[in-house]
Amino acid sequence: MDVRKIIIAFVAVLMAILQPWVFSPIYFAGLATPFPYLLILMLLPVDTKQTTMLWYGFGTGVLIDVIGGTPGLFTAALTFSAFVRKYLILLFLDREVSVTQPPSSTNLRSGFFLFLLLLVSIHLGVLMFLDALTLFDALYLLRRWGSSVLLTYIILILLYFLLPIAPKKD
Amino acid sequence: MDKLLEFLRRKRHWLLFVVMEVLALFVLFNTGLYHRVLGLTATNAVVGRVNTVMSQARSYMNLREENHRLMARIASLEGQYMQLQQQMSFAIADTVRPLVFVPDSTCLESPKLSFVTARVISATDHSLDNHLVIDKGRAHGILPDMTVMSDRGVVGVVASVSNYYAVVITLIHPKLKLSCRIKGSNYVGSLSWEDPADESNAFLSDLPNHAEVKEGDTVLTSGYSYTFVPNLMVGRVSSLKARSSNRDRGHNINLTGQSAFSTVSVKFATDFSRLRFVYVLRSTPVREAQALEDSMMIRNGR
Repeated sequence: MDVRKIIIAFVAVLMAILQPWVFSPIYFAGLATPFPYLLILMLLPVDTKQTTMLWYGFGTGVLIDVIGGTPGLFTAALTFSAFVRKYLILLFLDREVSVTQPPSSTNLRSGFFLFLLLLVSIHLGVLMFLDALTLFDALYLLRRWGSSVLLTYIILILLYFLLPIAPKKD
Repeated sequence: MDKLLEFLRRKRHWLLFVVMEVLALFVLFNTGLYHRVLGLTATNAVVGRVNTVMSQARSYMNLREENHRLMARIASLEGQYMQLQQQMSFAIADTVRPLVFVPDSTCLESPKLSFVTARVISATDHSLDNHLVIDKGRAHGILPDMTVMSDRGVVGVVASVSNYYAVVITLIHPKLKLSCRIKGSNYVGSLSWEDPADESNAFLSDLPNHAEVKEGDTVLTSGYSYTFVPNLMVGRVSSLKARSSNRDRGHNINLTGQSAFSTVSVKFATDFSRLRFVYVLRSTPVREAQALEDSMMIRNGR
């Protein structure tokens, strides 16, 4: 098996464990919760098959749900995010770049940061909508969604720069 | 088939995505109480609305059939209603005891009378040939010359009979004259009706001039008749003034006049314009006595 895939699988399991036990209880400023497990969607190469992406998303979601006791919630949201990932990348992808690497500022250039923001926004939007389902307090939900998107986005950017995710430029 | 398989192979990630999402959402809405309640609420709202629309559509589509069914039901109920109404009318008519016999000290024994209730199926009350047609005839024991009453008083006499119908000549017929008396006295007069414009009043003529009569006095049959038994209610004295035509004819004048006889106006107890049921008295007409009188008259005439 490819070492890279093993590493990604390990990261996925690690994130799935950390999310319910470490990150989910965090309510920064009473609103923001970080969801750094989205990192796994950044680790897979751009040309990853959709079915593979779906299995990654689905598997990680199931693991989080099983550990966190939220059956179906993260699975649905992460599967959806894994599915739309390809279409978001296509919005910013240049034709003359390598697609065998994970999405980064190298192949998506500045669009990478926007791609990441959209991915986080969509994922947390779906997740929080499924969690609340009713917009009984739409303003609170909006604030929680916005602050969580910002916090998660910052964490992912930090991880992107701190971890050896981004491929080196040729 | 190959194209379909190829299409499914190319789009299998869509299929996988749908399956995974459905699975996840199924688990989400079937495990957590909160989500289950929300899911049921949303489902019920949607399903309820769809069911309502479908039900309305079905109702609209079935309106013609429903209409036919209702019309048939209405017709059936209408028939039952009319039948019940008729039964009720007869029942009420049978429970009303006609005011036929007025007890009087001059008559010690009341006659034993039985009645046949009949429905008026035709009536005239504004002509000079007023009569009724009733729905009982010979088959029901009705014979000519039997007395016909209403629940208020005398109506008339049976003139002719068929098996199931009879014609009744009423008191508001100019040719019918009825011997009457004032209740409480033995003064007898002859009741006759002449005015087609007034079917509620008649004249009691040939009363002795000295008779003490007051307005409101009860007028009964005298019994001087082969048809009418005594003491049947006829009406009440409504006016002591005689009609001018009678005075002109020299028959009678008022009670204080010099003529030997007087005439009073009598208001019928029976309202001839509102007759629906009548009672035919099954008294045996005194045909034997009438035949005897007729034979005497013939003999004297010869």
